[in-house]
Amino acid sequence: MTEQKALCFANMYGVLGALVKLCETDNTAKEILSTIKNPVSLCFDVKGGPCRTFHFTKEGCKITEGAKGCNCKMNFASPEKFNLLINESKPGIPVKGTVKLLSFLLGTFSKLTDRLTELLRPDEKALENEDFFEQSTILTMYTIAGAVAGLANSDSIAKISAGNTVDGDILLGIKDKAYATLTVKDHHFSVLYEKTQKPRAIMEFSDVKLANGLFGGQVSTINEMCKGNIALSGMISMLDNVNRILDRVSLYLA
Amino acid sequence: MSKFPEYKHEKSRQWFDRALDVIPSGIYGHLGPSEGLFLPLDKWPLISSKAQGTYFWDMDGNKYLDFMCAYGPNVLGYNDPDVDAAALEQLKSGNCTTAPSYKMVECAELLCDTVETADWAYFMKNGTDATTFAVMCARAYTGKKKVIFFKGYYHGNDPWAMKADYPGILPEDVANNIIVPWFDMEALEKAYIETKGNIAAIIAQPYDNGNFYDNQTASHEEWQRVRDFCDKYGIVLIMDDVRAGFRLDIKGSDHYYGIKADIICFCKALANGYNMSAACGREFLKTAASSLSFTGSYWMSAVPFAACIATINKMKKLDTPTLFKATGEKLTNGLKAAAKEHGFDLVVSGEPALFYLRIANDDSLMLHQEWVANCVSRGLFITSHHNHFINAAVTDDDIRLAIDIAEDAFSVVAKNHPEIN
Repeated sequence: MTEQKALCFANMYGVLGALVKLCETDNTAKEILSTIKNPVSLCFDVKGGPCRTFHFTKEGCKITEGAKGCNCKMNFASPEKFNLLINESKPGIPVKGTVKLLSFLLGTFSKLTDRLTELLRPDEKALENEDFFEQSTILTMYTIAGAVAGLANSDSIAKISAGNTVDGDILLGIKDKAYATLTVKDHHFSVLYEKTQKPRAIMEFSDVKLANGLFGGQVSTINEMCKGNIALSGMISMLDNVNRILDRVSLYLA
Repeated sequence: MSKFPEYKHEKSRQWFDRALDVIPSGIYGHLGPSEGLFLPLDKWPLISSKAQGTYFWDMDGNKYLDFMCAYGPNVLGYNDPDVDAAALEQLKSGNCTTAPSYKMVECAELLCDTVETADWAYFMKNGTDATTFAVMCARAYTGKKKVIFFKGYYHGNDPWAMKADYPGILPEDVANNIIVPWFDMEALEKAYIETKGNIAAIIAQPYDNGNFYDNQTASHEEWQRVRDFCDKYGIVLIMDDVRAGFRLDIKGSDHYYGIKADIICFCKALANGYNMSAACGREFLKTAASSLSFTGSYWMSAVPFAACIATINKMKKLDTPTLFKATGEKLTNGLKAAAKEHGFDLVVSGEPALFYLRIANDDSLMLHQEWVANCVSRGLFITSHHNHFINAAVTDDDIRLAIDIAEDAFSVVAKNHPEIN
């Protein structure tokens, strides 16, 4: 019950979207970026899917919608083809800045995504390190938030939930650690990896360990809500709908 | 200093923890902390020890003036002596028997005498059973597939009544549902044309009493247009009166709004807490109703029938709809005045017997949730997301107490939010 197009959005907004926070917060990623000689603005243009440009500099990564400002571009003939980039590292067709693109893709980009994978799909041993555990969990939260936005706008079931969500900012977060904001406007979702000042609804996990358990499916969301470990407030109907989309995220990115 | 000190819930919490060990979510569904929106959890009672009249007590002995009425079933007061006496008397002579008790016949006769549209009655246990029966009956009669719902609908928990994005629900489960805005005649006509007339039923509550937004009552004219539409195209009109039934009109909420539904579904207020539901219908649907394979182990148990008979007779005697309207208005006027005193704009909507509350000072409901939590933790049980229910045991003293606690809670929230004033 998954759709390739929706998976493509989950990958683009969830997985690759997390590059922004990876480059901002992870020392290994910062080291990788420090080797960039010139800024690279890499556009992934998926036919029948999203088109986004990832702007890499020594300072970090920013994402803009569309191809504007890109100096390298890779086209994908379909969402399926883009999903192969994420799952099997199979590139699309370079159409702009080919030489720069291939060297960046095989070098810096590949190292960054490898680091992203280390954090998003950690081995048990690595998680024994408390700092790594926290970093991995927080990055997973950003990935999930991005995927919620991606799926809300593309997956046929998640779009039903989005269609029932009223406008406003939804704050998702791990208490005193990290926050992401889902902004809903006319049933369209977008994500910001920061704390909104005017949330209309809030879902806050009490600590990193709980968040990790929830993201990994080891603990029940409802049980933890009942125990009071997940603080909810505001327009709860928005959170009801986000929870339903979160179920879809698990299906796509498990 | 708050006039009403906040309750503690240590023993209730211990019981709830025990529940969590052996029951998914501890308390699942609308009576539990998740769907019941106990925000924050520590302000709410979780498990009760006893109830009487319009009050219940939690495991710590805290007493709650209850305007949720178990989400509707408590219509005459918990442990109403007349209803309980009838039920206990019946229990002595039989309950769940191979040949159903004559009480079932008496109960059906009483419903047919009471409910304006009822030529027959069919019994089951929950509201969902009744709405599911009604939809099956409409399909059996018309031979058609699609069912029209009004936006924001709730007709129970069976898969057909839910939405495709709910866990465990397949798109196929809801593939024959058409959702249109309330009373939008153009949308109804469009749905009829687009489905080439393949519409078995329209199912709706008497008015839009959804959660998280101000409830919108209906008019006779709006319902008459829907009635005419159904008559024009041979569509079965189902009134889901599970929530509002007998609180607006003893003859049914369709009667209250000036029409006759083809099938009307009852549950909550039907037997003052004894477990039964019923669907009542018009003569032309009786053969279709007979044709259905739809039954359950306890559906013809006699004790609830005895309770139902006593409940309906007492509701008639008390003229509960008139009483509930007056009580609801008295209570909500007092709450609004108390809110105003502290700078809050408390919006009251829906029918007074099923009033819905919302503090409109912010658009997130956070102030409202804070006020509701402070009411609950001081002994006034209300909710932040759902309509409320009046019962016949509420006295003027209870109303005064409710307003006092609400006023106290407003003062606490106002102190927490000096920006309000």
